[in-house]
Amino acid sequence: MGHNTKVRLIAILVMMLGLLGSGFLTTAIASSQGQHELVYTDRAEDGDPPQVALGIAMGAFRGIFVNILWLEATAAKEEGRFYESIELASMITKLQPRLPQVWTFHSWNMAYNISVTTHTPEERWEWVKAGVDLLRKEGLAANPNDMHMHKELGWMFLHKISGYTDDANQYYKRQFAYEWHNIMGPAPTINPDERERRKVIDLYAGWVQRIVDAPDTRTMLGEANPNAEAIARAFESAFKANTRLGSDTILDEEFLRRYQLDVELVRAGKLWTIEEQSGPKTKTMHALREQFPDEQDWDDLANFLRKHVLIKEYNMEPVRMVQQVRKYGPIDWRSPSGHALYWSSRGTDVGRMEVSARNRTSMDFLNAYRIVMQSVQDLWRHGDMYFNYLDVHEGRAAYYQAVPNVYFVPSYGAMLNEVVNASGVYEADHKPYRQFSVGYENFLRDAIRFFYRRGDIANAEFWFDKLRNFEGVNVNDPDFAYEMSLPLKEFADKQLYDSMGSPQVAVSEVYASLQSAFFNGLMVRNMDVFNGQWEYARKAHAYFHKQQFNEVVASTSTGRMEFMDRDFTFLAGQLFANMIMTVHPEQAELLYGYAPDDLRRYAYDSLAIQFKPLIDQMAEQNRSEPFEILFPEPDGMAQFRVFYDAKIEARTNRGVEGIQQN
Amino acid sequence: MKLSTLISTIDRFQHGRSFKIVASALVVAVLLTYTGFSIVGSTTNVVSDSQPQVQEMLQDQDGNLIPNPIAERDRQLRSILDVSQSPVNAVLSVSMGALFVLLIIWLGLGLTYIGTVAIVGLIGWPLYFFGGGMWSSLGFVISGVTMLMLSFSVLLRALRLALSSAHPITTIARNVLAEAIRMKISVVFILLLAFMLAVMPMMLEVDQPLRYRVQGFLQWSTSFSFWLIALLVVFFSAATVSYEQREKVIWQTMTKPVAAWQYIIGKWLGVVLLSGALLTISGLGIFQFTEYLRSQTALGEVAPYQASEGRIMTEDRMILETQVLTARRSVIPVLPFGPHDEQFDAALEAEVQKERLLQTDFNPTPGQLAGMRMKIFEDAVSDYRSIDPVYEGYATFSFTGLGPARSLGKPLTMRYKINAEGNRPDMFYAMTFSFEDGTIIQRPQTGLGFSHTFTIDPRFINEQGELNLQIYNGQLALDNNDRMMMRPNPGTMTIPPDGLEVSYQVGTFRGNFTRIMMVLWTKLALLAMVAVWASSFASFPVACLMSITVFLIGESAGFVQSALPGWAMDSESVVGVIRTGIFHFANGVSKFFSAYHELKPTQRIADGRVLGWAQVSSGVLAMISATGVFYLISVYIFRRRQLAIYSGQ
Repeated sequence: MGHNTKVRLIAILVMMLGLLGSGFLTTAIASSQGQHELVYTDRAEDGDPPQVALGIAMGAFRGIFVNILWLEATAAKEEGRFYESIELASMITKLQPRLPQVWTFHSWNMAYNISVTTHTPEERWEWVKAGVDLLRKEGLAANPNDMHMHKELGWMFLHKISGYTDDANQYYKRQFAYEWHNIMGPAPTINPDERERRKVIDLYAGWVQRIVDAPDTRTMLGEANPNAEAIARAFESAFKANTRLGSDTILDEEFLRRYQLDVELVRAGKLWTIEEQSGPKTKTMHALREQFPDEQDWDDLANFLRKHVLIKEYNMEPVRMVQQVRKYGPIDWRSPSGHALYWSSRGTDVGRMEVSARNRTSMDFLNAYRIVMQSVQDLWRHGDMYFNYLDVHEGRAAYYQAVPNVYFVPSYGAMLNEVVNASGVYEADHKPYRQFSVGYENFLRDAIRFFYRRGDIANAEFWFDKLRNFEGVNVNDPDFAYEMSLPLKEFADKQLYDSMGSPQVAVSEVYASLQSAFFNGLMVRNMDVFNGQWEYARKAHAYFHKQQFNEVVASTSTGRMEFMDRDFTFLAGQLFANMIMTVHPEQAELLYGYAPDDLRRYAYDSLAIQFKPLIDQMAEQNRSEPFEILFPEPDGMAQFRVFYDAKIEARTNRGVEGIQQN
Repeated sequence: MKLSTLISTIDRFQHGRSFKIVASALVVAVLLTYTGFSIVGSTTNVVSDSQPQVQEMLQDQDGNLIPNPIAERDRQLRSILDVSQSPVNAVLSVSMGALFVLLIIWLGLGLTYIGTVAIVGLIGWPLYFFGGGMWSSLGFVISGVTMLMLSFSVLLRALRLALSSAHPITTIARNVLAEAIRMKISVVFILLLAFMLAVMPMMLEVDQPLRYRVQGFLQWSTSFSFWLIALLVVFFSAATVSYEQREKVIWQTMTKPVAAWQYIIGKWLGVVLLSGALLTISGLGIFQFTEYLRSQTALGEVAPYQASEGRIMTEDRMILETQVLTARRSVIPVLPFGPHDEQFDAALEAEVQKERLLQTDFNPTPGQLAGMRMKIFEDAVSDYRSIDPVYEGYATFSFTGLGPARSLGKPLTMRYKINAEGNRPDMFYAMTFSFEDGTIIQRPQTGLGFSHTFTIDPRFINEQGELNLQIYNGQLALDNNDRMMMRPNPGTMTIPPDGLEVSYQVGTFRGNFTRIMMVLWTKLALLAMVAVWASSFASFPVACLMSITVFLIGESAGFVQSALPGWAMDSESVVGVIRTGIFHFANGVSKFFSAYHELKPTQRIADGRVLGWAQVSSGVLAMISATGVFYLISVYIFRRRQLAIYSGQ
């Protein structure tokens, strides 16, 4: 045996021993890492993403290379070479994946800076989504327990999408609602007999719980429901999919989108559009739906796919979503505020695991809790949503109205102690002025004004009492005692005068008075109340639009502040149509019967779709009058339908969703 | 019949003149047929038929007929679409392809290549179309790499054929080309280039706007190709000269009647032709794929070149056609005053008097006066570019020399950038642009510290070829009495020197791309000569190090120039003195390479900015001169070298 051969054999032996030893030691080291919480992820065995290895492999050159990339990315951004700055940002995040500021900087850059250089709502939305996705899918995957990133993500949802500072915010809201309507399905319909808060929360929790309870794998789905498995196979075959449902989120999302579209078309009574106007894929989906008529099978498959998409694509935890509904209230996941709450709340949960003596006074904790509370506030102000899915799908200026959700009124107070305790020095008892206390006071003022306007005096008094007896009230306001001594009416009016220019106040005033007009006026045939509240709503609407449109009428962004439709009759008609669907048929009959014809026209088609089959069935059994008697078609309905379609077209051309199209 | 016999028979057949003539005629016939169909079939009627007709003329408030600006804009957009869908590019591409095929035929490789393409096609195409996911990508890569390598092989053979004369220079160059596919070092780079060019299209993200995909592809593919070929040139040039010296192969060459100057230029020529071939293949591949990308669906379109109902063109498509796949010239605003204007005389005098208060015998020299005047002028410029929201409200800017842009009648691009409030990332300013004809364009959300663009109508340019506009620091709005009022921004905004420009199309993407490839080739030629020069006296590793250093200095010269202003210096501490020395050295070296750097070919092609013939000529001339200098030095060194003594040990 030659010298070289011996050397080689010895070298191979040493290498084998080394590999064997590292195999044993790796397990022990990983275990120790997990025990002493020396990992970025929740489980030591999750390991580092591949990009960390890339950075390590570069050794000392990583720092130099990263610096060059940062300089180039900044220069590219300043010079408007965004295609390059995005690529460079992507490289930087790969080389510095554990530095949260890298992710938040680049996602902010996309969502805020690059998006405003574009001129169409579509392209802006793509950039906003890109910024959100960078944090949600990649940044948080590399740093799942970083509170700062959670807070930033929550802020983006709250400020950029749910807020109104961006010209295209109305477009964002509609697209966001459309996307999440496809993923989660429609929000549950509240039974008029079960409006109690606890029951509504159970209903909304159940909406997500069904997703939690769905099978984890395709095999388990097949075992649980063979028909659902058959539908999946039929879909894959019909759409010539190269991958399987449940393993490819793109295919899963396509299924959910097509499934939801078919459901909405059928619900809207637009089967004729499937036959006459739809493309081949929509027809194929409808044919599948007819081939497998059992809705439960479709539901099971959809929930299985929803679970997969939520976890793999959106990095969300359905279990946590249920927990948050139970903790905060009936979150509509089609609302961006719901997602702001989810992420900021998750950040406070995981961040607390990492509190130490060193970071106890970090502003990140306080700021994260602020986002939580602001999200709750936003859900109270805009958490109830009405929007037209099909109009968004067809690229038209869809009706979208977010109105106050009273089920979140108790949430803020319930959270207050928790956030105050977690905010440490910043919310100490000895401070005469504390931010969260101010927030709660303003929150209650808002709620009291709303309940009063709606005619719900009992609730208004209840919350007024809460405010009067709030122990954490700030002591720096000399007028507080005087205000608390006012009668309810004067107190409510004062809140209105102080803040009428604010969009959410205007929306809640208009909405509350219309609600009162319909339920306290029309339904009980008190036309004085109806006319009075109607006029009040009209004046509030006109005042708001006059104030806001003086500011932006000369700009191209005519829709930026359009929290309510400009046409009051259109707005009121839409709200009437939505509200009438949420009550019992008997109550709907009263509302409809006493309503003027122009309101009836807005509601008639929806009522026919919703109630006609049931009422006609009951009429056959002599348990009810026919539908035509209870809900007679108002005069001029055919002309109204033409007028309504033209109105939607005109709104689309006017760019009411945001900035003008070119 | 044995396989080897069959192959020989086919080979004899494809080398036959009759086969070549028939095959050539077939290729020409196909080309002519395609050209005919393209010209007849090119149309944009699908778009125009679906658009509502717009009135050409409108009545103003006095009842006079005036041209409808919307009709004019529609015409501009249609003309852009017509050009972008013109069959010229497709016909040119097919013609180039036909030329290649003719070359293959006349090199006697027609049937060989058909067979090779068929075999690869049988593997690659089914994978691509039916494989899905990773297999589809593999099919694409296999097909791409094969086509690139086959094309390169054809070019290389053609070059060797062209260099087949018996002259020493051509002989040496021909040998260099043969070495290129023999040496492992060059083969690795060539394969890597082909592989990366084939893979790069797959790295594009389909959900990005089309223009970003095109820009990203142009930028990265051109940069990457250039850098890879440059490194190949360095290593190969150094290897081909230094290895011959080390292995004593050069003795056989130099014993023949080959002069040193012939040897050097022969080596250089071979490397330059090799890099030219690689650049040609890369360039053609990049151009073809860019044209393919152009024909994809842009953001907001329902089909390629078809915007959704009610629109002629989407924004993504318009920016792609007018700002990216074009050649634009930029114009910056002219200052309304110059440093020698009388308005500065009084200020200069006042400044001198102020100095005399401190120093009674102050008597400035002409140079000092000029410096003081320049400082006053710069302050005035800075004031001019700063717009106070309350006391000033707006500033007027003027662009001249835009007569050609007005004649062209195509939309212009206005790029602007403002600085304010420390460029806070959470602040946005509203700006208003008011043009000479009364048109007002609002930019309600302008981020601070980075560029924004929008398109403007060429009718804003007056008959003297001037574009005059006012920029307001705020947003115009209507007050309660329906009168126009200004809503000012919270602070003063400043337009930096590079913060305002107008650009317009002066050429085509095709022409610009060709010029840029020429510039890149010239750069590679210079690099080849630097490497040959270095290896004429140094060993292979040292020659590579020297050449790569020169290359990196040239490529980073612009970066160094932009970083130097921030370099702190002082003459008080030792460190400060060293820093001052570094500054002057870096400044000098980077300025020396300014002609090399300022061409910025890759950035221009991605941004759609013109690299005109004048710039090409001056840049190429500078680089040819530098090449010449290195050549002369190499010849001098080579003639004085004792090749017999150096044995490479």
